[in-house]
Amino acid sequence: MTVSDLPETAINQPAERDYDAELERASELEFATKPRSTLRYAISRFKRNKIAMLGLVMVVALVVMAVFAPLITPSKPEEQLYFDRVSLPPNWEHPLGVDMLGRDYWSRIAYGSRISLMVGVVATLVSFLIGLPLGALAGMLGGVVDWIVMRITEVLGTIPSLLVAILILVLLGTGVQNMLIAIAITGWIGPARLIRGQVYSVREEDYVWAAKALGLRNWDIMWQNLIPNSFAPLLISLATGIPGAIMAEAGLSFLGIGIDPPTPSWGQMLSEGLPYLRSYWWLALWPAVMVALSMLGFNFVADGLRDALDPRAR
Amino acid sequence: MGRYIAGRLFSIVLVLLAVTAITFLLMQAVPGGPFDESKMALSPEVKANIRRMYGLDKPLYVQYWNFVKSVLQLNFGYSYQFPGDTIASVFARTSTPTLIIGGSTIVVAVVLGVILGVVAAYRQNTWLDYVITFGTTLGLVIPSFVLAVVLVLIFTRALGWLPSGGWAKPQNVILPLMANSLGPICFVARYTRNSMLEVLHREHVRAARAKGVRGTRLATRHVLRNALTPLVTVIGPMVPGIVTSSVFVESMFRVPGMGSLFVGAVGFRDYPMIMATTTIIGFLIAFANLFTDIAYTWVDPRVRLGSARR
Repeated sequence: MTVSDLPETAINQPAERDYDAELERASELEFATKPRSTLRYAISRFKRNKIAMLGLVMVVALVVMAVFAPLITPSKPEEQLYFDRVSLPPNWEHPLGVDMLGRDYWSRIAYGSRISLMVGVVATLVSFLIGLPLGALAGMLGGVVDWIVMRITEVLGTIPSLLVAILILVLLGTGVQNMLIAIAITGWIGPARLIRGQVYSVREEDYVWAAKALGLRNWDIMWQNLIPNSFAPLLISLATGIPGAIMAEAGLSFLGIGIDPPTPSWGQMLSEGLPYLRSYWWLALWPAVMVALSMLGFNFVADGLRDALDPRAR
Repeated sequence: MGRYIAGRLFSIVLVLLAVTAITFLLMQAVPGGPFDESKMALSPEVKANIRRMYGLDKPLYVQYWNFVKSVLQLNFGYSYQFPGDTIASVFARTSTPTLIIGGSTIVVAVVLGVILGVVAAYRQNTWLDYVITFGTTLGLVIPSFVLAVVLVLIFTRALGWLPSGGWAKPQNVILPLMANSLGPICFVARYTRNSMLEVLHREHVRAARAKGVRGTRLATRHVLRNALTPLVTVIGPMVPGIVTSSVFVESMFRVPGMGSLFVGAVGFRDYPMIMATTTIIGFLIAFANLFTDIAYTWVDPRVRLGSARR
């Protein structure tokens, strides 16, 4: 290890050299020569990132909440327990209170995580399923196909994606399925551009020219180089896509054009709680907290993945 | 440069034509319209009259052409929701609140963002830097409508300082502005911090330090000048986010601006209004992008626009 290998900050602040960290870094460099080391290196970086691990714990807690919702709640989220006692503040029997229709609020919050996670994951996956083949085709075929795909992304990208989603949902009608369509219709642009860029950059690599000169077929070259090269950016894009879709769901439901009641969704509960903000403030607070926490958890994980997989950034 | 801008403007027009044509076809393709039985119980004759008045009995391409003509005449046609008003006059009424909130969002974001970013960079790896960095991470991911609810809970419900909505008093601006600008502030702060750190580690700053330049002179002439010029390029990319969040924030705080106008128009199936709002938003964002690209050439003279020779 020479001086030029050290980050610049280490030169600027010789007084505060952290010998333990340097030793660790050196040992990591050594083990970078072993096979499969990039991934292990990334995992160890991720584990050392406290915020990323906190995010992971939050995400896991959300998933547990969604999966085991029936086991950890006293009643069905749609069930009206009382007709005379409504909008109760949090108490021992109902830890988050009771809403204006006499339903246990904790049950609604817990079941709400199912909608959030489901829309977040499925909408992102659908976006990738549309975007990856389109972007890859555009990059590999070039010419007219590339031109058409790129013009479509340009036209769709002119209007902010949430506004497109509002338009689609109002025209098609509300509901989970239309919500997925509304999010995916602009969601595929990101993955498509990403994979197209990857195809183009792989094309320019010297070793790809060499492989071509040796007579390998385009398809084989792409197949062998594209996937390992694209793994990290795709994973990061997937990780940022999910909180994006969760926010879109909450936002659209907040505007009253998302998930139809009585199925609970945090965005919808938030807007239902708004008129009662003065008297029954907790009705709006809990869903707001849940949306905020899930956004934080997923984004912490996404940031952690970015730092772990792409150490050059930052 | 002039040729490049002309070319870009031409492609903006083409993209906008495509956007509006798609929006137009989409609205025609789905069932349901503004003059449905459920919305207005009218006799067939009256309905036919209304349809004729708005030109809805004409073939689709004539209707679309009429829309394009109305945009070129800058009156955008007539709204279904507000009979008798041209859309241009409705825009004149609703754009004021939106421009006040949106404009001050950009100002607040740049001023506060730069201050936070510069402070964090000069105190790199101290508790202050960590607090600012972590705070901006939080601020970037909290959706504006969640923040809006929390702000009302704090400033209206708990403290009773500010009104929870409406648009009558100057105080009405504060909460929407706060909800709208937190994200942009954090965005600018992060950008400034990174840009500052990069400049602080550059050779010319080290050279200036070695020559004995220090304090305010070093900061203003050698560091800030180089670190803050690139900020011109981040204002453009903030525009789509501000447009989106103003839709939520205006609905939440009952601000009679263009954001709530858009939501109302979509719900009412007010076709001309939807088309006009879409055109304006698309134009605004396309223009912001063009501004950003031109700004890059101011910031870095090495960047040349339109030299697509490969």
